[in-house]
Amino acid sequence: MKLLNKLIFFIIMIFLILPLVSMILWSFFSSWGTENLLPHNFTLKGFAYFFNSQDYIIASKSVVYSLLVAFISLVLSIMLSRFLIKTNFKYKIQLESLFYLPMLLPVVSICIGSHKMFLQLFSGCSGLIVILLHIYFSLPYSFKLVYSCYEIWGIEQEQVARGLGASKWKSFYLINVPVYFKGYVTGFIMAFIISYSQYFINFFIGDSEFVNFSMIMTPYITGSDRNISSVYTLLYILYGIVIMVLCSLIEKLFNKGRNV
Amino acid sequence: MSFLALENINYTIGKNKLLRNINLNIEKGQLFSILGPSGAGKTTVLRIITGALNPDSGKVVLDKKVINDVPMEKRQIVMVYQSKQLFPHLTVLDNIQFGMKMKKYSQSYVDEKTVELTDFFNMKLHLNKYPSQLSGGQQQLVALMRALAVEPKVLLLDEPFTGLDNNLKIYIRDFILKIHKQFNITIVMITHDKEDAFIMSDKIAFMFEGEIILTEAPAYLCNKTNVNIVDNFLGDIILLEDGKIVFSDKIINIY
Repeated sequence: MKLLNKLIFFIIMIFLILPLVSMILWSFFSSWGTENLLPHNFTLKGFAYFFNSQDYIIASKSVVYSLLVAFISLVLSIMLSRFLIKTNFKYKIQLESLFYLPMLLPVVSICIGSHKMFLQLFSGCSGLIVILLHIYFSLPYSFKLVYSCYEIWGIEQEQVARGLGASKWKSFYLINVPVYFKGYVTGFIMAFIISYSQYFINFFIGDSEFVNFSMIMTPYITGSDRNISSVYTLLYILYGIVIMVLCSLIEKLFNKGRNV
Repeated sequence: MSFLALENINYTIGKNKLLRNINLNIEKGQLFSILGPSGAGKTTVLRIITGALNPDSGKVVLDKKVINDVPMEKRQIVMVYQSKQLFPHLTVLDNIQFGMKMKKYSQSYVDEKTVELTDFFNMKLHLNKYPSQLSGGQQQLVALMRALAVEPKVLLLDEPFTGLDNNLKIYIRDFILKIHKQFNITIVMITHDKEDAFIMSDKIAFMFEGEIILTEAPAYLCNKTNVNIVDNFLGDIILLEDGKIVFSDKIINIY
């Protein structure tokens, strides 16, 4: 069994690490002939291009938008979860299922369908439309994670706290938030990843005003310059990793000295 | 007028009528049990008393005041849940002091009360531990300490012996009786265990399918009540002359 576990681990690591190693090498070298074991012609051309073309501003803005979307999705997820866990009504399961629909519906259909309606409603505010659609697609993921926490833990501890004299707000931030914080961070990260990786919404609705990292990266990946496309992909991953590490750090700092 | 009363309480979810016309009168200082099989609606009654649920109709009266619209934190009613629900991120000490701090009691009073409770419950050695480091019985004691720390008008106990082995159950049961005597507090306990109800209670309400079937003193319930559901649930109980009862071949004292 141990051997099988090791083998599975090894296979998974190969699938994860090999493409990454190849991409990292391509980021620093301009050519890698089929007859060569290793790439050659060391270059920082891709990185220079990224920073000189000011694409890093677009990338950073893209991260900020995604953080905003993730935050709104998390707040909505908490509110929805609390509502669903507190109330009992006839069509509760059906309503809950509705929240997961964006996971199943094709992005293209939603974008095309909502494009006309949103333009009529929020004419000239393509930024708002883009953010609303990002929330629409990231909310089900963060909601699923947050709601699972509520389904497991319930809200009895908050009710105990209230019975002991804590106000609604105090029982939320003194009892609920520390206990659920890991779930909230996970929901936030998930929403961030979904928003950060959206391509079609920005491409279709955002026009040239709301260009995100996925949009600037795509032409390079489909193009022939492997060095630049590898640099952009690597930086795309790095931005995401930095956010995830920061979230984990915040979670660790928040729960420091707590037994959660 | 009773100290705690439920008047014509009804509660429905969808088409399910969970509580039908519930009427209860509980005197001050009484240990009142609501006995009944699982799914009878016992916990729902307690949740309505705490304010966690709002009844569709009817009144909850505490100390001559209708408290339907009083928020949970102002009712002075504390519930000890079946699953204890200790705050996992706080130590035993912080759990005990939580309510007193929320009510903004002076630090000297908080310290004094903590010492009194830890001495009474003999939990001094566990104050800096987290709930996960305690046994089930110790967790139950901490939940009781935390509830008593705020000196509630009414203490609600939701199946307090669930998950405890027999020895521990007897220990906690005696402890609750000791608390009742020492603090002269009104206790409403729900249980599906008739032995617990008979041993501990001043009065027992029998509940079945969302209705209170009858409310009587344990000694009365030793005789046949002529209510089939109750008689079938309780089985054969024989009241002895010295106030003891024979219950499932066991002789027990009624307090």
